[in-house]
Amino acid sequence: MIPTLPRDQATRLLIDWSRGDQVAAERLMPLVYDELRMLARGYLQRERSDHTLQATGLVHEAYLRLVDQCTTNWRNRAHFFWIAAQAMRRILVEHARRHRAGKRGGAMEKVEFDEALLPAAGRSVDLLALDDALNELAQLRPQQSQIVELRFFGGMTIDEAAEVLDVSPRTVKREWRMARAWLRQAMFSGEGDGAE
Amino acid sequence: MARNSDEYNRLQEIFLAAVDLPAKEQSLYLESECGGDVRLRQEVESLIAADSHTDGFTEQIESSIPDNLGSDDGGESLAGQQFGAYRILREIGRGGLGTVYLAERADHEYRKEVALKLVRRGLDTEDILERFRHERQILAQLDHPNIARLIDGGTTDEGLPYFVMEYVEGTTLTKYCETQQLGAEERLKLFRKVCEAVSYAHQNLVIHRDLKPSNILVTAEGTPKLLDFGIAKVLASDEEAFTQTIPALRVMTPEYASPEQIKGGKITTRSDVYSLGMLLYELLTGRKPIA
Repeated sequence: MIPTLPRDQATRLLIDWSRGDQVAAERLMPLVYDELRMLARGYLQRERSDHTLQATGLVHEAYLRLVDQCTTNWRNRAHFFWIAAQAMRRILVEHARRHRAGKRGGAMEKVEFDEALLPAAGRSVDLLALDDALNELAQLRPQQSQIVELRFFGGMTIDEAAEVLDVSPRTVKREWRMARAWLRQAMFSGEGDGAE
Repeated sequence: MARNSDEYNRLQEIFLAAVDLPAKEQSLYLESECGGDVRLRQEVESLIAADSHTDGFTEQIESSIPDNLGSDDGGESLAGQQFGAYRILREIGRGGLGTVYLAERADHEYRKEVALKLVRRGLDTEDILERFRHERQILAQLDHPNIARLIDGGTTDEGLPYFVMEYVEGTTLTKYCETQQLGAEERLKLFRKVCEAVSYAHQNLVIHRDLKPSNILVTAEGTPKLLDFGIAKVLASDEEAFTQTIPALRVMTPEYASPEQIKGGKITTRSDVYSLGMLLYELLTGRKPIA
């Protein structure tokens, strides 16, 4: 039988991926992306109480909706969250970009997408600057950029991120510490630019 | 800043080695590592400054992510410290919300060992305490042989909230079944007791909200005891958790949480029933329904 439902497809791709099929990961991305976008839009229409609405919660829900938990295991779950964290980053950054363009044109955004979706305290973060800094970090130390993605956009704990990346929690902790100091530097040291 | 991976890695190496050193040693270390490389030294120093920065964004992100590792609060060093009438004996566990210690009453009025749960940094203390005061009466009245009693609560000198609960010595339900090699019938008997306790709490208008194996201990006598009843509500991150309409995403365990909890819908007694279902599945099959 050819799987047609997004759920069947996503589950299938996830399993294929865990068996080493890299193309499966690439095909899974748009499915997860669409699902997250749809969930986010649905939420924003229904309720405005932004504290119930966090990227992390959406990622978990997308998982429950897209993945058949009977045929998948913990490893598949970790892989899914990895993809979902990337999709979430893309959604939020695209939105921030549109929002900026809209501001320039004088148009008003109806809903503050990023405001509602980001972890409560992360709302003041300039997403576009974070995105740029993460791209730069990915060049210097790819794993650190992944860790930030998993934690910030996927809401993963140190342990969960360690599972996804197949390293020890200790390693994640160290890498995260460096990454956050570096990111803060890269994003907030505006006045120091001249030197370098 | 670093222009390539090699520079970055070198920067990281020095940064991580230096960042936790006391000021004096730190400056000595930097001097020996960086030598005359002024730029490198400046870069490490600015990273160290960024690390200790406290009004920025990253630790806020961290505080919004429940972490199994807890924060670097050096658990063991709390031994001997006193919170209210209780003195910490040793750490007995860590969870997403904080660290649990074995403690005893310090006034020796009567000897009693208790479990003291210290809520980790990052949650809003004022809100928690307010909710705790509101809930305390109700929780303290939960009197059931299969529910660990909530005894007391307060804040430390540093303003961290803590809860004092009946200390239960035992193993988690799933582990107990495994090590005792219990058959299905015996497992169901235990599960039934758990259900009775949950049902009793529901009759007293208390929802657990975070039922999972690690919150259910079985004593040496084979009595299951439910921990942390109502605590999830007190620790819920938003004000409205108060009225039980909106749950907080972070005070739950996705593997056992009901769909409405994950979606942020209204939590009712049925949310606990759902978690019980997940638990039953695990007890009978040895696997989590969502793994």
